Amino acid sequence: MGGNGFLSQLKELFSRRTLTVPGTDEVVKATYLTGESPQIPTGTSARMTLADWMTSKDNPYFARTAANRVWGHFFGVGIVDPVDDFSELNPPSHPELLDLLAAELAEHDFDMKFLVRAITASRTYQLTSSVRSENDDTDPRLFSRMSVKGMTAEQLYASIAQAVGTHETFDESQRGRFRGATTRARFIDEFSDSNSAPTDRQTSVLQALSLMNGELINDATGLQSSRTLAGILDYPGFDNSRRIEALFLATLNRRPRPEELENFVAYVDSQTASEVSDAQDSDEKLRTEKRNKAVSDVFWTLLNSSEFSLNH
Amino acid sequence: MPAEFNAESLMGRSSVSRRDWMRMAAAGIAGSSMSGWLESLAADTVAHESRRRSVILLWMTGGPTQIDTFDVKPDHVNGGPLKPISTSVPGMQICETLPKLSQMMEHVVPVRSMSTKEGDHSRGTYHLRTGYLPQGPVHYPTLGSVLSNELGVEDSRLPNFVSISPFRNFNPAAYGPGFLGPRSSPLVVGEGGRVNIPDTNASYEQSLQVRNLNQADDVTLSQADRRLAMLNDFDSGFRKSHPGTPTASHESAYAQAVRMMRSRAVKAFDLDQEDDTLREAYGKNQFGQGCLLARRLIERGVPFVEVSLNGVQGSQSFGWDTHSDNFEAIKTLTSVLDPAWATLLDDLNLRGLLDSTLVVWMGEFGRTPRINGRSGRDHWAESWTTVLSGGGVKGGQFFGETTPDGMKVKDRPVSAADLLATICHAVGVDPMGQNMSNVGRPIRIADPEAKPIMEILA
Repeated sequence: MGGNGFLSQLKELFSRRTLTVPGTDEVVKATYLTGESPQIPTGTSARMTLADWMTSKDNPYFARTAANRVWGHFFGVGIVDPVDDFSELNPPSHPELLDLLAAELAEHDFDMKFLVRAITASRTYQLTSSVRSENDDTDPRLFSRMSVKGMTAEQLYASIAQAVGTHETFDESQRGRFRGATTRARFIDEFSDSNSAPTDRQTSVLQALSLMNGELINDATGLQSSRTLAGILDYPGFDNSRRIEALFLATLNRRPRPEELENFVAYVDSQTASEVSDAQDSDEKLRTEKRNKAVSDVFWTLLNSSEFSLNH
Repeated sequence: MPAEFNAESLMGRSSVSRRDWMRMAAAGIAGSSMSGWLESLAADTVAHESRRRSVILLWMTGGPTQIDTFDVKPDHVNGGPLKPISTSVPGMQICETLPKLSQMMEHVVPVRSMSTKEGDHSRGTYHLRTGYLPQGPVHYPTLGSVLSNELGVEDSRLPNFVSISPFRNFNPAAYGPGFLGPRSSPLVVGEGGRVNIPDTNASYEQSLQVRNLNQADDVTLSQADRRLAMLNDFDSGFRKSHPGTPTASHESAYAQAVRMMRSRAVKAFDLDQEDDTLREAYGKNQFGQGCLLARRLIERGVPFVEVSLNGVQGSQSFGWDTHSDNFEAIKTLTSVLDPAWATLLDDLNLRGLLDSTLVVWMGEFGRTPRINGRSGRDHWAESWTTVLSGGGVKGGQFFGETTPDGMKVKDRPVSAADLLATICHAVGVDPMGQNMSNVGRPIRIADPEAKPIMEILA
């Protein structure tokens, strides 16, 4: 790759105040978006001057874009959406709300925690994502219910790691690497999607194959390798209902609904009973193996479900 | 690939035995829920799509030299030591580095008047692979995504876009579906490293397989079927209560993955089915076998396949980025490129697929006509070459010309957008077709100002 040429371009020229448009003779002077010319003290970085202007309370854009970006992060949809596209052609859905958030953010010295608290404490943020008759508007910009959002690669990996009880410790030497060779790095490479808004995030075929058949989920649901599964299977006094309930709590963070519990327990029971009785074999060990395998099928199912892999 | 999946993949359908069915029905899981995914497999044998046009993109990572390939300059010092040779088309000369391809020139149109403005790997890669400049909030899709979206069939057995051994680090976004989203993203096979010559350990064979195509070794096929049925049933409730793009996409991606896993079409990836003489002719290395895989995929109806040549082991340069010792590096690179490309055209032709398959050769830019102090050539976007070959174009001619020193385009400069629009026309896609973008505005396939090269279209 072309030597270290690109690094030299990162060096800033402190005295530069103009720029020639590549391929033309046009020279442009440093100007603020408002049209005013900046006062840049000699020897000071123009970048620094720009940064000071951008984050000043007088800047009419900064507070609005910052507030909108944080709103977009929590709802998956910005008040101006996409969050990068502020223009006259793309007006905010709720201009008064955006103005209020922006004013309060500036008032509180751009304290992000204040903004995050305000947004997450709102009734709007706490609405359900489940469709009901009173919230079945199809336009997500009306915020009548919480949008279903795809997770980032990092969020999905962390969710799986949490559910299956594995941890990959942070390796200081791997920091800033293009791509590492760890399971996590491979997973994130496969699942990263920096192009889509969370509400438009899609699953690719390779991602589906990876979740169905890949080593991460396979280890997680393997009877030899899974810590969560081993813990649930070996826990004294657990019957199949309790085991399934524990798997639901580990993956979906809720208890199964009665009919779900009934279905899954029936599945595990039938898998445990069937072939054993066919073979006239009542060996306890074989029954346990079959039951464990069926419980691992349930775990696999929950980890592959859309309820698990989507933020709702 | 475990044997279980090949011959018996069709059995896969019946391997959910009646006993399994009874058990699952007893468990309240089978019934209607089985129909969704597994039933669609039956359509597998019925569907036989009529022949459509397809594209194979041979992507030359790093920016390939034009003078030492298609734009020879024997009478100028910039021409360097490599000599021109005559070809199968009288009056057309190309560089001696491509002897096999020179005998296929009746199918080949080098476009020698490419003129673009991006001489940086990252920006150039994005520019040539999307037809747009990397700027603003719009995430443009790579041409494989956009064309497979136009040419492909929904619910096909194989994905509509396969990318073989891409090297994405210059600009990952240039390899992705952009605003078209992951349903238009490529199925990627092969790690994007350098090609080993000779490739004695055959490591390329494993790398050309689809990852995670088979269930894990300790999971039986019938168990996998039970899991899938259970998943489909369990998910149906969430799908109803939580509609939206992510939910629908989750379902369709799983359905397509299952369809591919259980389809005979995945045999495309089984290169052992090919005659060894043909495999040798393509070149027993990752790029050569990648081109063979491309033909097998095209044959099975995949409308867009790209094969990247990212470099050859032993060469100093990364890929075609020949800043030093250009001429040695080019000999090594073309020793892989030439047999693979020529054999690909020949093989497609013999199978009656060449008329409907456009084979594009390009990188992110060309190389400086002037040879630098290290016998290298540096980045050059002002006047360079891309090549269209095969179906949809009138082969056996050059389009465009550069000055005797190679420094300027004489007439009809061709932009990245012009090239993309030409590719569209060659495969019967309207370049002014529109897709909804991530900024809520429709975006044309090629920039509205693009002027396709009508003169070379068949």
